[in-house]
Amino acid sequence: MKQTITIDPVTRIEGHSKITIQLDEQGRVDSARFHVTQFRGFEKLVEGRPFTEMPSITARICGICPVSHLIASAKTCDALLAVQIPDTAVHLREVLNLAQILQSHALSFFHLSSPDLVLGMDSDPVQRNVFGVAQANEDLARDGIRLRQFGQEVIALLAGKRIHPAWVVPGGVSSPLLAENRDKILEAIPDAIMRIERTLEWYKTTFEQFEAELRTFANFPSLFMGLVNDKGELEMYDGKLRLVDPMSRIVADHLDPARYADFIEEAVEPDSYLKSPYYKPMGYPDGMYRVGPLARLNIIDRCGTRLADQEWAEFRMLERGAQLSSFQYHYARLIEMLYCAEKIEQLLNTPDILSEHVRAYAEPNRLEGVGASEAPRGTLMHHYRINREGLIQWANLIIATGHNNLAMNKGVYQVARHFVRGEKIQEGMLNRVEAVIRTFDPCLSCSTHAFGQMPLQIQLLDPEGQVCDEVRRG
Amino acid sequence: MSGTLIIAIGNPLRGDDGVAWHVVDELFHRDLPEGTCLLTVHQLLPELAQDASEATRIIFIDASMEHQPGETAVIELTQSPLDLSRGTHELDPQGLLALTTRLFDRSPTAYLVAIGGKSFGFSESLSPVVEAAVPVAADLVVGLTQAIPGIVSPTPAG
Repeated sequence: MKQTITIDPVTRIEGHSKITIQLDEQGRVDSARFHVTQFRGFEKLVEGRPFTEMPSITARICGICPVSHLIASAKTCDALLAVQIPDTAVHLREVLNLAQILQSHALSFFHLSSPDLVLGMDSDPVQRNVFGVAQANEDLARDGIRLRQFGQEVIALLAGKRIHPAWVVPGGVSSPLLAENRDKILEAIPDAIMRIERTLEWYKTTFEQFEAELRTFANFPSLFMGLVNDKGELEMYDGKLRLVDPMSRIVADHLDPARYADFIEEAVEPDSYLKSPYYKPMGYPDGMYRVGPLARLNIIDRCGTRLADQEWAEFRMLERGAQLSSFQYHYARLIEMLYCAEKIEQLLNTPDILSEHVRAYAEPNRLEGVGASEAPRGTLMHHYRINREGLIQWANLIIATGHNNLAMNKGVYQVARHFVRGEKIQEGMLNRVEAVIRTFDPCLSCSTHAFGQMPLQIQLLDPEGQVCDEVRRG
Repeated sequence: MSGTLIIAIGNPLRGDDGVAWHVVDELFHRDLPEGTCLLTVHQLLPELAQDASEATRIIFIDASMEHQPGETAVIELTQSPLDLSRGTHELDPQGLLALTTRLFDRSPTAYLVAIGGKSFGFSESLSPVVEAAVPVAADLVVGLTQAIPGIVSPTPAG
């Protein structure tokens, strides 16, 4: 008899989703799908709002990576103003973005994924959480807490608060950096670097233990995409897009993110609110690509900071071409944390970092603009059209998790095929199916925008919880 | 940090659930000992263990469904073992204290100032009865910041 296994909800990720696994009559996995079941709809919500409100509104999409939206949105607004923002403002935005990436990676690695790594994929699910990690490996738990706090403190020292700061504005940032705050951040960097390096050393000792997961966790050929600077180095704030193939050969380079529609198409699936972008010249679904830490380390020529470059060289030695196993997103995340800490230090030591000239002012000079930056989970793009009064007429957001959707689905299928046996289903098997999704660190609150395709049910409830009205579609 | 850490917990967009944030607003007009740190959070998170480990005394302020609307109570928090079955979104003051002790080997004196809530729906304002309790709760917090650990007289929960 055919059987369907449903994992609902998928745990230790940001947002709401489920996984369905279809077994055939012999109990073998026939198909597996990752469904994103929440809907946000920010692109419609913002229509009619002044474009200057966009950074603050879109930052509310997410409590984990509000800074990413703040920056991509502000860059889009810069494009509408057609201004070149002051260098100091660029550097300060970069520091903020790096701090955001560092704290988000710490959340993903230490709080969400380390329970699998420390306690094992088959351990008791009741204890497989950050508190179980605290019990089993105090150093690791402490390092996670300290690193996340470091990233959040940097954000607060720059932008006034840890979550949903409003400091990044069209044309720059709203206030300069105080010398005392710069010094506080610089003082904390050596400790952060020590903790990241210690975690990297520990992580590298686990490879043998997770040999099967390394081999099967979304380990397949695909394209990889991300921003690089003009030296081919890791670039989180600006730069041009590069795509490489599974052998790390450059497929496309120097692509202007503002022209994304020339090379990225967004497919829509009937069973998910998450869109499925693909590289247009290779068609759907062959144009599947991955973004985020693994992709970024696969596309670059070097990181551009001393310690991260040493780790990156070791990372690249593991394979002849690109790292294809998504399990190594964890490894890449740690290397990027190291890069972020070093790069923050570099930027804070630039001579003009305390300059008070941090904002350019202008009226809108264009009616359409695109802004792109690297968010923790990959390339983030905002695209707005405004009318002559500066009101948003149309918006499109392409989110990192969306870029990864095709690969996540393929990964779920690969892991399910390898680990799930219909005749004797065990929790550890299903945990691995969830864990492959966790390697991508999806942020579903950010990325659900495929309104109009998935079956939708809306209920209007009275204060007693009784249904007053109901609309179903699809 | 070596003084008192005050952590106000709640969602200010959910009516009385955000009463602790209103107490913090009130505390800005009160005399607090030097070194007192005020934090407003929607929920407790593991990274607060670092802040907790650096304080000598922690005062949590939170809305309560176990007290009558507008009723206030001071509860002295005792150490409990780390509960491994909790998720990161379910961390309560005792859980944070247990995590702090486990990771940082520190056990600050801790109290909870609980304020009974009435309405937890979408609203940025408090019920009148809960609003009236805000200065009372602020008085309790000020008293705790000045108390010598061990001689405060907490009221029982419930």
